[in-house]
Amino acid sequence: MKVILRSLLLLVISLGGSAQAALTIEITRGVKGAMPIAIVPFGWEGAKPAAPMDVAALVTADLYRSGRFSPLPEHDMLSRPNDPEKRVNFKNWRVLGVESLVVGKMRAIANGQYEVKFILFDVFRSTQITGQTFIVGGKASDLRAMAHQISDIIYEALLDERGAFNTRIAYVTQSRDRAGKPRYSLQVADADGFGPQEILYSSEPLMSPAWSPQGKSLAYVTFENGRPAIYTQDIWTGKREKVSSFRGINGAPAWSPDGTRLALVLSKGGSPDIYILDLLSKKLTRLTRSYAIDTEPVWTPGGDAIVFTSDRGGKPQLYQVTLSGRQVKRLTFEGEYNARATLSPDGKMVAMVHGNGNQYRIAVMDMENGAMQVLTDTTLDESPSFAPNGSMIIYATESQNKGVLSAVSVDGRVRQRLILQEGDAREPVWSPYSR
Amino acid sequence: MQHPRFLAYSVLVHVTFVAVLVLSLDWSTKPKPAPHVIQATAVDESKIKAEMDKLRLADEKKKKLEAAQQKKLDDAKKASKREEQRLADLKKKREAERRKLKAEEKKRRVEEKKRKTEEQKRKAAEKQRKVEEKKRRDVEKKRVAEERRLKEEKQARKQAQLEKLKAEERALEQKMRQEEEARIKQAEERKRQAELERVRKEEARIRQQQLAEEQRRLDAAREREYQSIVDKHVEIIRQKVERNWLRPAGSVKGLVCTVKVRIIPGGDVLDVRITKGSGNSVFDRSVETAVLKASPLPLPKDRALFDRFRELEFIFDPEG
Repeated sequence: MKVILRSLLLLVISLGGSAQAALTIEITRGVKGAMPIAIVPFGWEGAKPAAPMDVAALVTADLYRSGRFSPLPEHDMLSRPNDPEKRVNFKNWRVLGVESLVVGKMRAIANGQYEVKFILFDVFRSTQITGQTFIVGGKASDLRAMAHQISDIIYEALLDERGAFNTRIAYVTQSRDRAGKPRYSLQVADADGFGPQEILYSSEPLMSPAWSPQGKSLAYVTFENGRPAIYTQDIWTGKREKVSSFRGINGAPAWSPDGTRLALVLSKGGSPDIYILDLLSKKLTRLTRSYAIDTEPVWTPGGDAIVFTSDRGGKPQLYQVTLSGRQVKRLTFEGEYNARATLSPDGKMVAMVHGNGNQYRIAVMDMENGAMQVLTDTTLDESPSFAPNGSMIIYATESQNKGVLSAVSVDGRVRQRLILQEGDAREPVWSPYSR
Repeated sequence: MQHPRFLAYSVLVHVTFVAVLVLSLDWSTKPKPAPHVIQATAVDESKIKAEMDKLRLADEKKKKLEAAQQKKLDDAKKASKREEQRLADLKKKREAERRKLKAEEKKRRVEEKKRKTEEQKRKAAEKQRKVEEKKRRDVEKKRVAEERRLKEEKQARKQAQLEKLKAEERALEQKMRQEEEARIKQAEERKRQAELERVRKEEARIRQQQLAEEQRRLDAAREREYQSIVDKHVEIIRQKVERNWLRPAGSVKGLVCTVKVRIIPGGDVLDVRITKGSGNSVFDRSVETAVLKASPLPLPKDRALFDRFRELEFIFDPEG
């Protein structure tokens, strides 16, 4: 009836000829995809024939890896403006469907420093969105940090959410030394896998690294004493502290959002259960009490609940337990194996290892409606960890019987292996924003 | 009817007129200061005769008187002879007598002359009287004739008036009848015309209605055709914009953004204006960019339809 009335009204209006209502077109579908962007190779001004680093290439890689951008390959560019001061011909970019354009320039200045300037343009509106000028030292790590910062600025300007390119990842590598003995190493690298630094190594297994909320310390499990113990270690000073070495299992530490407590797994009470350890008072509180295995705790962003893996239902599934009420609810129902939870910073998504038959893949689930989406298509994926902006998940997988690290965008569209210098990498964890 | 009254008036007027005429006639015949003869003369002829006789008697008496006088004169003469002496005296006396006679003769002649003059005068008066009489008679005759004429005239006028009145009445009647007939005829004509007009109007109305109906049908058909073209292009535009809309991958749900888009005839997007933003700048920008990227929008070839596309409203509602 309403439709008929409306069409009658429309007819009347259109027959009337005048005062036509504007046609209204509803757009409900769009392309799910990355934003087309072009990062033109930066101009270079200096004594040396080439710039000390290709900033544009790094920014391009960053933005691509986030899954949110699809940078135009350099060879497709119709022009290469390399001076942000000069006028840009936006037509050249519009015809390519590029929505955003980054033009920059690097210039050698005194004391081995460089001035780097870039501008981000809106191609279709012919406007400048943002831009910045940096003075940066000549060290590779400084230059890289500056480039990641540019990535962050662009990311935030275009997506209105914080970038996570200037963060780090921690992971464990396993190799063998010259004598053939195993060598376990705790590494910290840039989020893109570059510039790894060894924090700790041991001939005994190292496991389950976890970042403190400030990103200054790591907690981890080490078998260096022949049996598992949990340590915390300041990554800058190297100062470490044993916080848990109870009988049986000491595993899967997880820092509370306020940094004062650790959730961990202890089997001192029989089967592995979740406990809360107050780092100052060393007071230990038992959170779960079951005959099944309860493990891999993670804090909700509010710090009022713990999501963990339990096989109390027969198969490993994710559960949530409140810190106060001790109420437990099952979160996952899809698939026979869901484990190793990691929560998005806003707490709305949970990523996990989702096992089906003998395939273990990374999946994300909407905490509100339980909708599950599998993000990867490899078979032995493990240890997912959300980036601090929730846009990506880093995880470990196997390639040619070797552990490798990969990152996947939360929509699953972009997966990229991180190029690591060495070894068999496992258990990556993404750092929080350093404060 | 007023005619009798008019008639009465008319008669009255005529009587009055005639009366005035008669009176005025009397006045006009009043003679100028007349000689006394007139007074003596009456209308009676016997009186005239008596007068005449009287005059003749006087004449004869006079003649006798004269003869006596002659005899007396002869006697005197004889006495003279006898009385010579005394004649002389007598002569003297006779002279005196003769002179006296002479004087008397003279006097008589004067009187005679006077009488003659008076006779003449009388005759003239008579003549005059006769003329007057004739004149009077003529006047009378004339008056009578006039009276008759007037009477006749009056009669005739009256008759004529009557005739005229009658004629007028008849004419009036005729006229009225004619007018009545004309009126009736006119009324009938009017009625007929009105009926004709009504029929004509009715026919025109029906024709108009049919035309309007036909026009409506044509309009509706054209509108349907236009509408189908518009719908088709709305769909094509929708698809083009959707192809160009990169939905931000953000996790925020329920974002809706409405934009008004102005188009120039080639389909090129003139500008995109956010009329109701989602509150999310990334989402809103993606919407703006989608429309700008979709430019030029595919418009119908028929320029007549351009007006409908001049301004478009897009509602970007991923959950719509």
